Amino acid sequence: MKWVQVSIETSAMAEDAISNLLMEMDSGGVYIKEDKLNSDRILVFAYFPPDDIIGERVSKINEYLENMRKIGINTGKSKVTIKQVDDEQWSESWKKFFKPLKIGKRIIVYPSWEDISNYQSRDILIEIDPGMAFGTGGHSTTKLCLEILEEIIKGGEIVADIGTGSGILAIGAVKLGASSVTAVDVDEKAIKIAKENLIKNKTIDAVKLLHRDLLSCSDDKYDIIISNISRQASLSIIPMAKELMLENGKIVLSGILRREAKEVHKSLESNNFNILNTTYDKEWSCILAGI
Amino acid sequence: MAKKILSVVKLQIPAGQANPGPPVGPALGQHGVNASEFVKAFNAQTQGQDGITVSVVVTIYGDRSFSFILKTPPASVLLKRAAKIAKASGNPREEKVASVTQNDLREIAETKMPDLNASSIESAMRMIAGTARSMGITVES
Repeated sequence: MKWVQVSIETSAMAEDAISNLLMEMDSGGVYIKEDKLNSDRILVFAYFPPDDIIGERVSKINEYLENMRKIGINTGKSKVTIKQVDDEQWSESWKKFFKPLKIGKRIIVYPSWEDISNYQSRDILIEIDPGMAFGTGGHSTTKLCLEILEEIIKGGEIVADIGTGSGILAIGAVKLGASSVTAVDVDEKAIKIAKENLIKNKTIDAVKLLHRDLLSCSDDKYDIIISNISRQASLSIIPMAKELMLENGKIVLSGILRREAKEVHKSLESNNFNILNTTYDKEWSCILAGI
Repeated sequence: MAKKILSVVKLQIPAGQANPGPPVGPALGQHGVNASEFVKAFNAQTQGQDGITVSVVVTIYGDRSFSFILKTPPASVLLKRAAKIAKASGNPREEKVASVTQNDLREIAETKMPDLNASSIESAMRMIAGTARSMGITVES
């Protein structure tokens, strides 16, 4: 379907009034772009069907801007531009940014529209659709965690995933062979999204999903504890982690910047953990430690 | 987990009734964001206030994931509410459609303060008064 994009270059002072005018002309909403270098230069975009009153609309906008100026309102450049656009330009175009992602030796994170028939049966396939900001596998911290999980999960492990987000690490752990995962998150929205992803990936039966802070009020013990949150979260988890770990248990800490790794190493050592490995990607680090 | 920010997009759209068409589709699609995902989350979060125009700022990250925060309603919406009108004037120079008091102005400025680039409540009131005049709403002195 074709649309007419009307853009108006104006000032911050006129932004709300212009947006209101466009809404009252049934634009159904406006998109506002601020100039990063000049906070008073604002572009307001609205979209209308390419009907025969588009010319009338544009004249009305121009008259309105002129009237505003005449009563002493700064309307900036007041430049009105129209352009025809096709909704194909955006309805499918965002998908081209998402391609299957190979992580480690055999993990593949892919979006739902991708044809996966070419992958081999030994591949670990994780279906995650891009959406809310909860880890789609493309981020270094998620990638580093999955790589370590691939190395350390041999089969049958009991895993805790603190700050599960999209659930990607819990899904990965189950597919790599963990027998059960307890996944927690403080964010209710994350729990909802994680649940959808667990169902899509047929891993929901092996995962206990809980809306709570860290592992508070848990009596369970784990072979592997993963936390892909931050330095701060890692430092608060370390002192209580041992209590929650089974014999030969391991902890994977991610979401830590390279320059913060030393501080986390120190905390692990002072709590009698052995640091087994630290991996890096871009500015991020991921630490594996054992007891 | 700090992520690299790719772009920040500001929208004014009806609460609870957004759809993946324009302006949401083109605004987000050009940055590689699935507009349907945003619409689902936005409508869920704004249900109950159906139809009211709200401002929302969407942050798009390097991995094309996004988050959003709802801002205070646009000044135009608050002014129309205070002046009890459904539609602003299309010709603010000649056609005045309603009026608001200084108190209304102060109240709106206080509501909008967190999102305005204003150093004091007085300068925020001046900005709101400018929007009011642009809409054909006179401010009683």
